[in-house]
Amino acid sequence: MSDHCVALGLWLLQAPSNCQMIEVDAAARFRQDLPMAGIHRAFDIPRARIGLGLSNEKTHVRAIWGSIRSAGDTSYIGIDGESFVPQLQLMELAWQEGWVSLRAGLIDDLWVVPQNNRWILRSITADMNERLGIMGRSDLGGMVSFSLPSDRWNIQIQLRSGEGHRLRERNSGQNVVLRSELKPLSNSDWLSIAVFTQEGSRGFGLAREHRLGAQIYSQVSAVRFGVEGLKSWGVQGDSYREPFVISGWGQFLPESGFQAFLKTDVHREFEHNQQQTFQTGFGYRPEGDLRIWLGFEHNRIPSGAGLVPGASALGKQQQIYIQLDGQFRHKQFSSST
Amino acid sequence: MDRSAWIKEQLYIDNRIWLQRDSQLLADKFREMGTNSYNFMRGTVPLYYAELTRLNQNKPSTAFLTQPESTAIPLFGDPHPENASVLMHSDGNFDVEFVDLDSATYGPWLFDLRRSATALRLLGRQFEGCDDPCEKALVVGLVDGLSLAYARESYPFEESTIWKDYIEEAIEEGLERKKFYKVTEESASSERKIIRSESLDTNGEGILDVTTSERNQAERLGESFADAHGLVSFRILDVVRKFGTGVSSRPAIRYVILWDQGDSTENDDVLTQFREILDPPNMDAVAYASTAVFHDNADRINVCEDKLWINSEADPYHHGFWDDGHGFKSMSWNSSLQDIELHKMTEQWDAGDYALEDIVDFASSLGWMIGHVHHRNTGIDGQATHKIVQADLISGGGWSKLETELKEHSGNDADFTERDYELFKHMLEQDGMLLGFEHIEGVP
Repeated sequence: MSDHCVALGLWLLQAPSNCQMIEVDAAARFRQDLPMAGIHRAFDIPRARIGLGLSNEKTHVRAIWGSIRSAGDTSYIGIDGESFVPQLQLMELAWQEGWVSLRAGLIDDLWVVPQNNRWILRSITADMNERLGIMGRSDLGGMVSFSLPSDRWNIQIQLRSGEGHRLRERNSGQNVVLRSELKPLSNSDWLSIAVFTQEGSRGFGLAREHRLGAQIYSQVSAVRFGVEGLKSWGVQGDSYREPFVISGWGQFLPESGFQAFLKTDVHREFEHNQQQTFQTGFGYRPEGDLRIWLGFEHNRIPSGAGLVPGASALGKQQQIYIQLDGQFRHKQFSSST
Repeated sequence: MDRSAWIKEQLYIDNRIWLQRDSQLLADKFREMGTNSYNFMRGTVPLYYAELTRLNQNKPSTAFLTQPESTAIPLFGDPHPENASVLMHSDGNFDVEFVDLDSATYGPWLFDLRRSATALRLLGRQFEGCDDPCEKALVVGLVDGLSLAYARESYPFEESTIWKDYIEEAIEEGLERKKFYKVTEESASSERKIIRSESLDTNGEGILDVTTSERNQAERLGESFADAHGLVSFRILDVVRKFGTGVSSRPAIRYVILWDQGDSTENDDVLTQFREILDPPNMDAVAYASTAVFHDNADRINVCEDKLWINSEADPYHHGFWDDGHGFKSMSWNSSLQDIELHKMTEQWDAGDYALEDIVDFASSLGWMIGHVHHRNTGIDGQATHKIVQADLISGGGWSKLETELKEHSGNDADFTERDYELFKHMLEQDGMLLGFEHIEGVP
């Protein structure tokens, strides 16, 4: 019986087992922001998600609910104050036959979710493209996926709304997304090379929303590395924007004991300037599913490359935090579902 | 590449709440925005700030905002001329304030000046013969007014040609209770009632009866209002819903209540508006991680009234309320309160009653009002606002640099607004009065 019985953070390429699963992904953070002014010290819940799934040998259904502040980050209009409310992030129906699978519903994004699955520490930070609003977690649409039985090569093609999981369809144009991954070495974890491309549009005005990127990952035992680069043409209905984001990271994540990570991102949107982010953290994982982290993030935005060109006050932001996070699973296997 | 698509995206985000609730009122707002570039500017505050903080390397660079604290001071958010008003009191004293605090929040100090300078340029463009030097003179006037406030000098509103007109109007019409007698009439019950329109006119303006649920909400707001102001024997005599006022908030719920404190004559009858308030524009360019410092939008109005009005009691009935998930503000509705009106100014300009120096002097008064309140405020970190601004001014190059920069940046912003206005008019013609938003699922 294979162990592809997972509800969260999943991007199934192989036949699922006959199982039912519940997963909870949670994190709590106490942070100190610099510069120390305004509300510079606060508690956060960077992650609070629940995933449910049912699968048999050929079909599965999964649903994931995350949580968001009902008033968002900037609004004062929310539900019962600014209460956390559940948000459907994924609702996927899938059928698999041999090396082909079909999915439909609110489906995973083919840039963000594979990245999350490799990076693992999504509760620490999202991929920079997701943080900048360039990419989203899921979208309404359908997907066909082909993968070799050896798991050396796979390809996915999606047709989707292009508006993301937060907005309804607002035009008659659909986005076409393609991702292909090659794992050339005998141990498929050792090296993964993927290319990603999207031809699409967004919003009432059908603003262009094109992407071209690559992801390279490697895992040897508890050590993981990743390099990702994504070029975009058009972001959130703004056709003029053409950002390029490149990220590199390394992790040491054994089953227990000392843990560490290092991540750096470069966001280039101007000819002579680029924004940079550096993150590092040291953690401890006792036996089980919990980790505790002491982390640091530094953002550097040259004055010519910020939201208000020349405003050097907006150039540096840092954060120090302590975070407790974990992913908890309950799964039950059965002979049939 | 299509700028229209981006404008549409921003307008959708900004107006989604109106679209879902009553799309006809939104269509009326868009129609009003299409009448001239000044009204377009009034209806697009979030678009203005989205453009100001949009990642774009072709934008002009500022020499200011060099310290984090300079990015988070209390701002009016939208200090354009038509948001300024005279408020006359029964003792003969008067106040001049930016009465509309809908966009008030914390943000970079430069933004109030830049928005105001842009609005003044667009105001100038409504005046026949006001060319670029004329527009620049208005920006210089704005900076002069600010520096006057920083020199702790007062601004003589009584001597201003333009303000004098509005002050006299407030005295004359206020004493006559002109608005009160214009919008109310005696009823069979001997109490006065607010006059209803037969229907909304072609501009979407009018006063209509309230539904039962609207009446219930207005009465709840009235009770909160009476509690907040300690009104004894408070009675609501009549409630109506008012349509077709303003530009940005045109689709907002707006009630007018006629109330008194038990006197059977009309002497103590008062008209008060309750208008729904939404979120301020997202300014984004704040150096701190979080500035969500208000409990809700009603609290925001109350806090900002204390911080941003020269006299926080200028309108004694101005207050924020929270009801059933909606923020509301109460405002006096009488002839003692006179708003600056663009069409009146242009008429006076065309008639030769106003000259360039009068408009420049008026621009100075706006700069003075922005600067004056800096002396009684603190930034988000608790430092005195005027000290933060002074330090940033020195580090950025001083007053002359500010003047040069504002002339350039406001010209750029005004040109953008004009271009966006032309695109917007084209979109209205091409896609209809709701810009095609009506085609999405769920729009009533």
